[in-house]
Parts: sequence; C-alpha cells; structure tokens
Amino acid sequence: MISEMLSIGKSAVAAQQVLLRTTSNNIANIATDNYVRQRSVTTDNALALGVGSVITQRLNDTFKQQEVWRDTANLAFNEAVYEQIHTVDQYLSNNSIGLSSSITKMFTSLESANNNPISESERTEFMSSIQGFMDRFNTLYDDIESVLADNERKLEESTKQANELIKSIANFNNSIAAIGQKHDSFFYNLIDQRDEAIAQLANLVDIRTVPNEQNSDVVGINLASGQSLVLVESDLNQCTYGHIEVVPGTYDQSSKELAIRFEGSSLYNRLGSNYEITGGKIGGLLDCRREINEALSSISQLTVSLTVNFNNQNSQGFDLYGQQGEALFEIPHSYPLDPSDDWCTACYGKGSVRYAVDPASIEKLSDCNLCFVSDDTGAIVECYQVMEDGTLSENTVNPADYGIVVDTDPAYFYAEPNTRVTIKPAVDLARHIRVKTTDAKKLALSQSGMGPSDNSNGIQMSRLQNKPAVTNGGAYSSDDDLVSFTVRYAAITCKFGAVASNANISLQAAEGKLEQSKSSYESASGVSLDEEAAHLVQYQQYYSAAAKIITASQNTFQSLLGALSI
Amino acid sequence: MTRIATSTTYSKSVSFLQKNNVRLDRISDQYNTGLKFRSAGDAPADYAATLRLEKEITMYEQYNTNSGYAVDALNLEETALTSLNERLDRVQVLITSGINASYSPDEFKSVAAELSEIQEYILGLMNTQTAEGEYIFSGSLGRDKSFENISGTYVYQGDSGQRQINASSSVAIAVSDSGFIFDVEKAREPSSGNANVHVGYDNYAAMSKYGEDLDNNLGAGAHTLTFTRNSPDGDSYTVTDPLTGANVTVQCKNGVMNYRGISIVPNSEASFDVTLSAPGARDNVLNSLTEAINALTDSGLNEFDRNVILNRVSTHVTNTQNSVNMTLGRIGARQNTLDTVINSNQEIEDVKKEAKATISEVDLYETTSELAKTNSILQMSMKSFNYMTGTSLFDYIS
Repeated sequence: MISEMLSIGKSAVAAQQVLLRTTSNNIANIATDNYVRQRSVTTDNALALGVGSVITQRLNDTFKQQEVWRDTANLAFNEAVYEQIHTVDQYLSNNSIGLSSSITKMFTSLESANNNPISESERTEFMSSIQGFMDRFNTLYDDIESVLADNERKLEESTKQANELIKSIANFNNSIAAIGQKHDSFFYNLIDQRDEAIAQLANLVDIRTVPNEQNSDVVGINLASGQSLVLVESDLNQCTYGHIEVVPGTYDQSSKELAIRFEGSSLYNRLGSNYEITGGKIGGLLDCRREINEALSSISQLTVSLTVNFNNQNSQGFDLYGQQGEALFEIPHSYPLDPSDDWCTACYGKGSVRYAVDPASIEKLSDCNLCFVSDDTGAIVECYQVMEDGTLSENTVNPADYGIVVDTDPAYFYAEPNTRVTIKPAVDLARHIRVKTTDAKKLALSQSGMGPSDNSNGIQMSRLQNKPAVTNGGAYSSDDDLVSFTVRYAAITCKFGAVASNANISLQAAEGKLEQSKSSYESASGVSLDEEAAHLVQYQQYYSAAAKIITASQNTFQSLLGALSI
Repeated sequence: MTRIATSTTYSKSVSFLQKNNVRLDRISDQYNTGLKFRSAGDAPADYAATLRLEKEITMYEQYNTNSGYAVDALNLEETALTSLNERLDRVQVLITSGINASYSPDEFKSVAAELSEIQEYILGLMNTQTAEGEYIFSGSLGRDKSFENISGTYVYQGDSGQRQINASSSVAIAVSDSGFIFDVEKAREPSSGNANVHVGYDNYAAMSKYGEDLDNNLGAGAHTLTFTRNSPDGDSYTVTDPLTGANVTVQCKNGVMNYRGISIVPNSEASFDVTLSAPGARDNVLNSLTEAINALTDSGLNEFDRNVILNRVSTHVTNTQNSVNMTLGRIGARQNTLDTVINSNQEIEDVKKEAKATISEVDLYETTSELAKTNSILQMSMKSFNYMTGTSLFDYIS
C-alpha cells in the first residue's frame, strides 16, 4: 500500500508538473504572435493506480485559423492598394501639386495679356504661367512615377520575402514530418512557428492550406487560384516548393508579371499580371498599378492636348515681332516631323513601332494604349486598343483614330513573329514636352495682317478654356466625347478619387473583418491570463495535494517503522 | 459563453482608441480648415464639382478685372469723343461766321487763328493715349501715333483693328474704335468745265446738308447736268432732272441759279455742263480744317469761291460729328451691355461661391459639436481601456 501510495504520489506530482508547465508556457507566450494555447489533460492509469498519462493538446481551430489567414491577406491587399492610391489621390487633389489651378492661371493671365496686348509685363505673366503649368505637370508626373517605382521596389522585396517564407514553411514541414505525430509542447511550438510563417505569407499573398491526408500536421500551400507553392510529396519525406519571380510582361514589358518556378525545375509558369495572384500585399501592389498607370496616362493626355492646342492657336496668330506665331511648347514627335525631330520609338515588347502625335487631329488623342499584333513573318498586321482591364478590344482599331500617325515603313514596323507590342502614346509623348520660349513677345495675340494692339487671336486662344477639346477618357468616336480641359481634369481626379474612396472603404471593411475573425479565432486559441491565473492556482493546489500523498506515504512508512521498533 | 483571450482585450481596446483618434483627427482637420474633404478620395464627385466651381470663380474674378479694364477703356474713348464733338460745334460756329461777307481780312485771319488752335487740339484728341502710352485710335497698331502730319496732310497711321475684351465666358465686348471713325465722307463737289461758269453750293441748303436728295438718290458715280439757256437774256435755263428725267426750267435771279443745292453763276453762257463728283470721297476733318484755314487767310480768293470751300468744310464737319455721335452711341450701348454683364457676373460668382461653400465647406456649429462629441467618445474609450485591462486575477492571488 505504501509503495502504491508513493507511486501514485509520484505520478500525480509528475502530472501536475506537466499541467503547471503547460500553464506557464501559455503565460510565457502571451506576447508571442500566433501562439496557440495548449492544454494538458491527465488520464487515469488503466493498469495500476495513479495518473496514467498526460496529453498536451494544441487548441487550434484550423477552420477559424484559415479564415484569419484569408482576412489577413485581404487586409494586406487593401492596405497596399490604399497606401499607393491614397498617395496619388493626394497628389492629384493637392492645390499646389494638382494641375487644376495652374490651368486656370494660364487662362486668367492670358485674359490679362488680351486686355493689354502691347504690354510686355502681362505677356510675361502669361509666359511664366505656362512655365508654371509645365513645372506642375512634370512634378506631378515624377511624383506619380515615383509611386510606381516604389510599387515595383516593394513588389521585388515582398516577392523575396514570400520566397523566404515558402522555403521555411517547406523546411518546417520536413522537420514536422520527420518527428512524426507527437503530443508535446516542443512539437507544438514547431507547428506554431510554421503557422507563423504561413500567417506572414498570407500577409503577402492570398493562400489556401491543404492538410496532408496521412499527416494533418503537414500542410501544403496553394495560391487562392490553385497554383501550388508548397507541395507535399505523398511519401511525406520531402516537400518541394516554388519560387516566385517578378518578370516583365509578355506583351508590355513595362508592366510587371509574376512567374513561378519549382525547385529543381527550369519551367516557368507565368501568373499573368494580376489574375492569378490575388490578395495579400503582392496582389494589392499588382492591382493598383493599373489605376495609377491610367491616372498617369490621363494627365499626360490632358497635357499633350492642351499644349498642342496652344501651339496650334499661337501659330495662327502674329507675335509682337510681327512674325507668324511659333510653337509656345516644344512637343517632340510632332507630325509632320521637322528635320530636327524624330519619331517616338517608345514601344513595349519585342519589336518596333514608331509614331508621332498628329496636331491636326489632336482632339482624337486618347489616354488609351494600343497593342500591335504580328503574323508569323513578324509583320504587324493588326492593331487593338488595350482596354481598362488589360484585355484587348474586340475589334481592330485604326491608330489614326487615336490622334497619332504610325510609321508603317516595314523596317520600323515589326514584332517577333506571332507576338504583340504595346505603345503608350499619351505618356510617352507628354514626358518630354517643355516650354519652348520664355520670350513674352512670341505670344501671338494678333491675327494675320493686324498690328500689335490687336488681340483677336488671343481672344480665340482664351476660348480654348471652355472649348470641348479633349476626350473624356477612352477612345474618340465623335465630338460628343469631347470636354474642356478643366472638366477633363475634374473627371480624372473624380475617377481616381472614387478608386481611393473605394480603397478606403474596402480597407475599413477588411480591418473590421480581420478583427472579428481574429477575436473569434483567439477566443478558442488565444491565451487568457485570468484563465491561466486560475489554472496556476488550481494546479499549484493539485501539486501540493500530490506532494501531500508522498508526505502521507512517508508518514505512514515512518509510523510503520515506529510500530515495528516497538 | 464566449471565451475572451487577453490579447483580444488589448487589441480590441487599442483598435477602438485608434478608430476614435482617426475620427477626432478628421473632424479636427475639418474644424481647422473649414473644409469637408482633403482630397478627391474623401468625396470624389463633390471634389470634382469643387474643382470646376473654383475654376469658374477664378474666371469670374478675372472677368471682373477684364470688365473694369473695359469700363476704363470705353470711358477714355467716350471722354475724347465728347470733347471732340464740343470742339467741332465751335468749328461750325466759326465757319458760319467765316461765310459772313462783312468780315474784314483781319477778322478772317483771327477766325483762321482760332480754327488753327482747335485743329491742334482735335489732333491731340484723335491721338489720345492710354496711361500705358497706347494710342487708342490706332486700331491694332497702338504703338504708332494715330494721325500724323506728313508734308502738310494729316494721314491715319493705324489700321481697322478693334480691341475685344472677354467680359464673360460668352460675351466679348469691343472696347476700342479705330481711327477710321474719323475717315468721313466729304461733300460731293460740283464743278463746271466752262471757265466762265462758277459753280458752288446753295448757301442755305449747304449749311444743313449739301444736296441731300441728290446724294441719297443719285447713286454712285459722277453725274453731269447740261443747262441750256432758254432765251438770250439768260433769265432761265432748262435742265433734265436726273431723278425724274423731266425737263425743268430753272430761273436765274441776279445772275445766280439755285438748283437742288447747287449754286450756279452762268455768266450768260448758252449751254454748259455742271459735273457732280462721285460720292464717297473720304478724309479726316483735320485736312478740311486746313483747307478752311487756308481759304480764310488767302486774300486772293473771292467771296464766292471762299464760301464754296467753307460750305464744303462745314458739310464735312457735320458728317464727322454724325460719325462721332454714332460712335458715342455704340460706346453707350457697349457700356450698357457691360453694366448688365458685370451685374450678372457678380450674381453668378456669388451663386457659384455659395454652391462651392455648400459642397466643400463645413457647418461650423455642426463641426464644433461633432468635435466635442468625438473628443468625449475618445475619452470614454481611454477610460474603457483602463477598465478592460486594469484588472487581472494575478492582482488578487498571493
């Protein structure tokens, strides 16, 4: 009986120690991210008296955990989108960066010059206002471009991070598989660490976990679209994993795409620009590029159109030297080409398309990109408009309907056989526009045959302000598509503002959803200090009681010894 | 019963605090800037509307400046033309007195001297300049003097250009008139091919307007009237009336015939022609004044020929005054239009400002109370943070 008591006490003390250790471990990891609380349960001994075994459980709700990961990806997606979109929105809306006030300034100072066409001071004010407009545009252009550059840098960094995480998830899986199913805190800590890596990966891309059929502690990772990232081999010995890379787009090398290559394989699987990777920071970064590029195209279209219109009007008048007016803005790649000018050769893809802006049909200039398709000899046979979602228009289009002239000399008009090249006329024409002259006398306010006091041409120029002169986004089909410059800029900021507004609402929704799913998950898997405090007291008492068993057995033994000595 | 993890308690409380801080920050921003939104993302459509309204308000401010400029320009022109008209009234008086046969040569000279002074003064008015030195009557050649004396003749140096000013987005108002308003039709000049026959104006008809009925009805081109003596005593002549085609007998009294504003001294010629020059010869009044001054100071000129010249000048002065009056009328009309446009601009600007305020500006009372409310909500979250996290079972076990 005494030895039984001793062994019962011993098993009890050992069991309560495990209970206390589990509780302490929970308390210790209160601040550990993604730590899943553990609970030890004791069972009685089937063969003898005392505690039989102590099993430690990891109280993980995998369903809720996956929901948290999905919501994490969604939040990270919206955070990435919001951060970038919000920055551009602020640039477009800012009164000292946005174009609106500088366009108005051009027209008010033109009015002043018209009031007094002979006065150089008013003319000088106008010349500085066009310089002011160009400075604004260039600053805005650079600012938006730096957001895109920042986007690309973040994309590279995030991809690198994702690859590290994918690799470590595979390694954790391998360790977990090697240990085999084991129910103790050390093993669980390993799973926690693996899950922490998964949570971090979910922050970067939207993923799905696939528990292995033979050992559910080992999980494979897929993209939400189904593409594998971590593949668990059926024999469980080794995981293979993919490597994500940022690559230039197939048809538009300026737009980035992701490709995936599996360890040990040389095969690249292109994921498209933003269709297969959804969610997460990487998904968000890819997603907002389109909107930002569109904003850049739109302000570029506005600028090319505005400057060409001013040039056209100025060249119809006579300046203070009595000469036919010249261009106020230097607009490179202008058809017909001067000997000093050249075609615009910016073209994205493996091939060549050269083009120039056509001032004679400037109202047709759009913010759309065009895509040229080659046949199997490499000759370009078709042209399509690139739609807002990145797909090509249903029907072929004529570049002349987009306000540009394309050089169809076969020597400069080709692509790799059966492929495509993209051009971005608005952006590539606008980026090199400069103010041509600072000479105030070159503002041609008077009309043909009139003297310097005449302002007829200046009045015509001032009419440009309300003239429907630029398409309100998209392709030109009739004059009904045209709006004035101010309305166009308001429409650009409004459209982008709506994107920013949606991004903000989505962000708030995603924050709310994650908070909710996290609290629901943690209500099962998180540590509660009050609970652990209670357990601590409880298990301490159990331990004291178990220790008492040993004391009692000792006392009993002593009593027995005392009895024997009598 | 839901189990609450400790980290949830903290993260939830922190999240509440953050949300309330963001809200407070936003309302404090609104309170301090007076604006409902900071960027298009806050209110896309309202922001776009604000941009359009801002542009229009700025433009209306510019139109106000333009209109002010237009008012100044029109007033300057009006002043110049009104003084010019007054001076021409004086010219008419002097010319009428010059036709007075009883003046001595010295008296004629003193009339000529005054006309000469007036001529200088009128030249100054016709060369009116703006404060910036631009000649207002030079058309589009405002840097050049409008009228210059080139070897004894006053010649217009400008062109027909007219300054327009945008008084609103749709109304452009002319704020200048070229010197061609001074280029006025002269009287038709009657002459005779016969050296013995003197031809001039009928004094009385000429003082109103020479040959008005012939001027108006005869049409373009020169016309020749053939007078045939009816009897040797020369008491009457027959002429074919150019308007009716009928033969008319014209009586000759004291050796002078008056026919349709033309005055003829036939000197008993049996038959002679009187040619009426083609209408439309134009010149500025300065040259006519020179002619009048020369006629008044030329002692070799007989009374009839001097009066022919003075009558011709008088007609030209009248025609000039008509042209100036017509221009003054146009200026008045432009000033009226301008007044209307300025008023409507002001009203439109006010409406737009109000619309912009409604869209983009916050209601101060609302914002103030919202600010106070948000502030107390934040304080409540802080207190609740304290309640939620302040106690732990660990504080009670020993």
